[in-house]
Parts: sequence; C-alpha cells; structure tokens
Amino acid sequence: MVDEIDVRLLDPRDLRSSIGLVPQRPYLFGGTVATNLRYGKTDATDDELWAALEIAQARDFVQAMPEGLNSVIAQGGTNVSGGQRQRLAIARAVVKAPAIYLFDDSFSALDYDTDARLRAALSAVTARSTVIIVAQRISTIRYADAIVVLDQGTVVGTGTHSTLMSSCETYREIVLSQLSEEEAA
Amino acid sequence: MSGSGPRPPAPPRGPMGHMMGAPPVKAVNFKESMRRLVARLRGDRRLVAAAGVLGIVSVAMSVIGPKILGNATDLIFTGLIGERLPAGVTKAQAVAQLRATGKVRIADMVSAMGVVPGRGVDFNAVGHVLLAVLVLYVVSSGFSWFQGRVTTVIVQRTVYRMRADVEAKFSRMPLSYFDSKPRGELLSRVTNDIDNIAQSLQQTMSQLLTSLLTVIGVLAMMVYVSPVLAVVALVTVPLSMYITLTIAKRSKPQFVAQWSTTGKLNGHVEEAYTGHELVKVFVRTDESVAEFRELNEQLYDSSFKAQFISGLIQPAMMFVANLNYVAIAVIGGLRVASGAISLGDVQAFIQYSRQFTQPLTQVASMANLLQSGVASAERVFDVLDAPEQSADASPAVTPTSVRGRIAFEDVSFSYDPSQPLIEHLDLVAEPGQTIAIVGPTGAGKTTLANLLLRFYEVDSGRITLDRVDIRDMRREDLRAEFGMVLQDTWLFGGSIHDNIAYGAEDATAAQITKAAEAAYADHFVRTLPQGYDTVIDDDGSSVSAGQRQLLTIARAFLADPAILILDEATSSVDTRTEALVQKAMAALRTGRTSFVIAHRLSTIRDADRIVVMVDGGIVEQGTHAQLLAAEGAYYRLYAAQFSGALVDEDVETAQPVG
Repeated sequence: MVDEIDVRLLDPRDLRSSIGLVPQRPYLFGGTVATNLRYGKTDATDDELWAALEIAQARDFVQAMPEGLNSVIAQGGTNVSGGQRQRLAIARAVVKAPAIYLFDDSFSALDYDTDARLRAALSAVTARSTVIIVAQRISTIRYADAIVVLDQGTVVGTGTHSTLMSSCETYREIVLSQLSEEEAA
Repeated sequence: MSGSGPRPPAPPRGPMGHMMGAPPVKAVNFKESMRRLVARLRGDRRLVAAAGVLGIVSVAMSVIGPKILGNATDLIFTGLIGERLPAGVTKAQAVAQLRATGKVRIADMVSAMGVVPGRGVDFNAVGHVLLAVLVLYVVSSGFSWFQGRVTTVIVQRTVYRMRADVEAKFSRMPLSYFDSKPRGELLSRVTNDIDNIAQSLQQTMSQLLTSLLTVIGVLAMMVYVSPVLAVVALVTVPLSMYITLTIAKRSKPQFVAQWSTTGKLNGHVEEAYTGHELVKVFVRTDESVAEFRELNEQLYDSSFKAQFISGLIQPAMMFVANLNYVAIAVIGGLRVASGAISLGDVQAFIQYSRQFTQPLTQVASMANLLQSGVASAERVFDVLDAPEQSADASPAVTPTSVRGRIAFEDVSFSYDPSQPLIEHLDLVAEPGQTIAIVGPTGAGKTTLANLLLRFYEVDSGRITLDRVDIRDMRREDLRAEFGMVLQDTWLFGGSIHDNIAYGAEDATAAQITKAAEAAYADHFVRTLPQGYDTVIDDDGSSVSAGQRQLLTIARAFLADPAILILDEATSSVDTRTEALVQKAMAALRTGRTSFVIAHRLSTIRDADRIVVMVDGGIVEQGTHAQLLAAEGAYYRLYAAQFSGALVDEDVETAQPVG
C-alpha cells in the first residue's frame, strides 16, 4: 500500500518514479559522474548534483577528480572504489528526490564515521520522504521510526529499537552480537 | 583487506574498455622485441636449423614439380606430332617439307621440338616422368609434415620455458608490482599473451618460411622457364596489390565503426542486464530501448558496409588472376607456335603463376599475425624485466621457537616518497598481546600488515621479531610464523578438508577436525551431506560468506602460527554466524600475538593496545581507556560509531580508497 493504494493497482511506472532505490550492489553506468547522477532526473542542474553529492558525502572525492562532474565512470563503476560507488548511488537517488527512499543495505561499504555523517545529512532531505532501510548494522537503523525484524523470510517483530529490545528475542540477539549490553540500552 | 594503501591510478578506460574483435595491438618496439623473441628460440638451435633445412628441401622439391611435369606434357605432345609426320625421314627433312607446303608456323614449332618423325608417344618415358613427379611430391609433403612437427616441438618448448620464466619471476617480484597492476591484466599476460605467442610462432615459423621460399623458388623458376612470361605474370602483382589496398582503405573505417559499435552495443546490453532494477526503478526503459535500437541500427549499417566492401576484394583478385591467366595462355600459346618455348613449359608456367599469389597473400597475413605475436611477447618481456625484490639476507637467521614479540622501532615508510605515510613509528607487541588497528576506510591499515610480512620494506628504522631484524630472515621463514584471516576469504576449488589443510598438507583427519572444532566450523561442516569431503567451488556458492570465514580460521588454527594478522570486517554475514566468527577469532587470538584490523568494539576495547590510523599515518596509540581520556581521534571515532546523531565537524574526513 502506498498512500492507501494497493501497489498492484498502481501503474508500475508511477510507482517506480516515486521510489529512489540504492541497491545492495550499487551499480553505475558507463558515462560520467554527471550522467549517472542525472539518471533519475535528466534536467537536474549542476548545483543540484553538487548538493546531492554533499549529502552523500561524495563531494570531496568528486571534487578531487580531475574532471569533476564530467569525470569518466567506467561501466559498472569499476574505476571508483566500493565505498565511492555506494555514495554515488546514494547521490543518484537523492537527485531524483523521490517520495520514498529504499536503501537496500546501502551503507555496508562505508566506515562508521562516514556512515554516521551521511545519515545525519540524509535525515534533513528525507524528512518529508518515507525511508526504508535494509541494514545489518544496528547503528544504521536504531533511530528508525519502525524496525521490522525478518528471520528466514517471516516478520518476527516490529517496533522501535527500545520496544524490540524488550519484546523481540531475535532482535536482541542481533543487537548484542554487535553492541555490548550497555551500548544497546 | 579494507584499505590496500594508495595505488597508482589505473590507466583511464572509457566505457568501451573491452572492445570485442579490436584490431591487434602493435608492439612498441617491434625490432627489439622480435630480436628477443628470436633469441629465445636459441635454446633449440639445432631443431631450428633442422626445421629450416627440412623447409628448404620440401619447398625446392615442390617447386621443381611443375617443371618436370611439363616434361611429361612435352613427351606426349612430341609423340603426337611425330606420329603425324611420315616415318623414315629426318626431322630436318620433315621441317623442310612443312615449309614447302606453306605451314611455316608448324615448321617453326617442330624444328624447336625433339621430334622423331613417325615415332608416337613414348609412354614408357611419360610413365617415368610421372613416377618421378609423384615421388617428388610425396617426399616433399613428408618433409613438410616433418618440418611442422619439429616446429611444434620448438614452439611448445619455447613457450614452456617462457611460462616457467614468468612463473619464477612472479615469485621474485615485490607485492608493490602486483598492487600497481590490475590483476586481470597480469593474468592475461601469463595466459592469453603466451598462448598468442605460441599460436603466432607456430603459424609463422612453419608457414612464413615455406611461403617466402615458395615465392622465391617460384619466381626463380618462372624467370628460368620464360623471362618474357615472367614479366607478364609480375605485371599483375602491383595491380592486385593496388586493388586490394584501395578496397581495404575504403572498408577500414567501416570495420572500425563495426568494432566500436559492437563494443558500445555489448556495453549497453551488459548494463541493461546488470543495472536492470535501476533501469526499471528510474523509469528509463524507453530510453534504454531507444538507445539499443539506435546502436543496433548503426551496427547493422557499418557491418553491412564493411562486409560488402571487403567482400569485393576476393572477386576483384579473382578477376585480375584470371586476366593474368588469359594473358599467359595467349602469349604462351603464341610462343609455343613460334617454337620459342615448349608446350610443357607453358603448362608449368601457368601452374607457377597460380602458385605465386597464394604464398604472397599468406606472407601478408603472416605479417599481421607476427605483429600481434611480437606485441604479446613484448608484454611478457615487460613482466620479465620488472624489478625484483631484494635478495634474502645471507646467511639468514632462522627463527626457532618463535615467541612472537614484534617491535616497530622508529619505522618510516611511504609508498610514494613525496607522500610520507608512516613516520618514526614505535610500537611493541609483547608475545600474546592483541593490537587493534582502527581508522576510517582507506587509512592504510593494511600497510602495517604489508610491512610485517615484508611485502614492502621499511624505508628507515627496523621491525624485529623476537628482537631479530626481520630483514635478516628469509621471507619464507618470516611469513611461516604468520597466520592471516582476511575479509576476502580465500578458498580454492577443492574439498573442505584440503582447504583447511592448505599450508599443512600432511595434517591428519583428526587434526583437521580439531582445528575445525576450535574454529566453530565443525558443526556446520558435519551438516553438509559430504562433510569434510564437500567440494567448494571457486565462487563458494556451497558455503556462506560467514562459513567461509570460519574455514579460514580453522586453517589458521591448524597452521598454529605465533603471530596473527586478522581483518575483522564483516559484511553480508548473518548475525548468528557472525557471533561464531567472533568467538572463533577470539579463541584463535588466545596465546598469539595478534594484529587485528578491528571493526568490532568488543575486540577494540579488549585489545592490549589500540593503534589509530588516519590518512595512512598513525595518529594515536594506547589502551581504550587512555585514548578515551585523551579525547582525540579515537574518541571521535568512538563517538561517531555509538551515536548516529553525534557528528563532530572536525572529525578527520575519511579518505576515499584509491
């Protein structure tokens, strides 16, 4: 259900144009940084692109590239590192400014520090959007409005971090494998 | 590992980096590389000489063939004429008689022939000639076959030596070489390039020689048989070359267009498949289809033109060859009639003229093949010429019963002299201690491991193992004391048993089970249908990422090293296996000096010493409590990790991995 409408009733194009996806394996197309960023919004201005890069913590390395926005990206994005690829993919979704963001394990290649800053910056632009994050790292999702815990394909718990900590055994297990008791509290 | 240090930038590769069917690469220094390639054949000097001699004999025999065959024609023709002349007169009388009856032409012809009036075809002599030709051809083919065999032996032995040289070279080269080159390219040098050398050598050595000799031999025979006809035959050579070149010039841009559009089309299709969900979610299906249509259209257009134009070459050449044939036949016929040349010689000549063009085009195509072979050889020589790592100390100190004390004493190191990386580092790890190395992505955490294992040598200062400078040990002995468990688990195609026993091939099944138990891997291995005999395929689809890590930990347990280098980074490992990995790593660390590229706070907190790296340099070291109290880089990292909201503006910017 999106805005109370069954997704199956929506035109897939309309549905998809309202979603900004950052896939688990971020994929970049052959072209330039700019063509990749404009993938979801062809008429985006350079300023919009830089703003998105800023949010995705990608501004610095794109600036450091000799051609900036016009730097060549090899097919699949193989000429940038995994973390850079992930951040460019995030910037691409941000440029599209969708109503729904879908981050499928999109922060795994980032170190904790960059991850934290990226999420802080993202929270400002995603304030009016729905954000769905698929994550393995607890720190990435612990401040989410709702956390859905999946185990072997079934939902075993829904709620905030604190309610799940007390009500959902699986969630507790996951959290404690990453954080110690007092950190998790 | 997470950050593999700065690397020289890879050569720029556009979206069409891998074009299919691109034109062969040319050698930068053809002459020099060719010389070195030929020099490599020297090891089989006698075989090369043998191949040469066999080739010469074979070609000489096959070139003489038509001329002798011409004798048979002459014998038959002479016989036929002789039969028609009245018996009992001399040849001179018969000629005079012909002249008297006004048959001047026939008279001229007959006077030049060895005719005996009245005598028919000497089938006995014809038989002898045919037999001789048969023997000649059979022997020639035999020699040619033998030459091919010898060539194969030479080529295979040469590339065998070359492969061995490259393999030996690889083990003598420093890690920096491998770090600076894309893996795929190096692999391609050992496999594709050497294959290419073998193939082009095989073809050129057997065919180039025979083709060249055939051209020379045929040319010589043509001039010998009839200089006039030789001139006629040669006139068409520049003509056909001109035609070929003109057509080829026109088709080349079309071929280039065909290659590049094929590359673009492949790239587009590949992208559309791999980026499938993105194309859908970003609603770009229509654009994608439109782009495909356009590229496909272009490909059709350029392929059609390229094939059409280049398809003209063959018929045009045939046309010229046929013109030549007619010219030789007519002029030759006239000259037979005038008695200037025998019929058999004309027949031989026609055969020669047909034999002439084939080896000529072969030589031309060989030139291309040789180019590409030499280019490959050049790339292999590049590898062979690369600088090697310094020789091991001699006499070397052989470590015995290593306790595992590691000390960095005033160590400075940088990959690139203009960018100092580690400066005056002092760090001591007492036996059994755990040293956690933390820092953002790309901070050069791997550098320390590289130095410890002597993949790179320190610029100044020294690293000691049990107070012995590691440079005084043989690299092999040094590395044998280390165990590594890395983020990118490396398992090879083989059974789980063999994978755990890697590096300790003589381990018993009981030892392996024990190691697996210690690494918490035994349980999951037992649940597999084939247990320890389960074969792991290269992509490891039969075991999960976390299980692969458990197996590499088991491997380290079995090897039982005094010092460990661990990379904890875990991604896409399910949380329960993760817990096992964590327990297994902790167990492995017990009693061993461990350097951990740490990502888990529990490890970091329990470490005897924490080394904080930022931008390749070490900014802080101490225990968890000390570093927190110092409120420095570690404090900020720690804070960032614990509260998603807390972002300190002056936190060091994470350096992108290059």
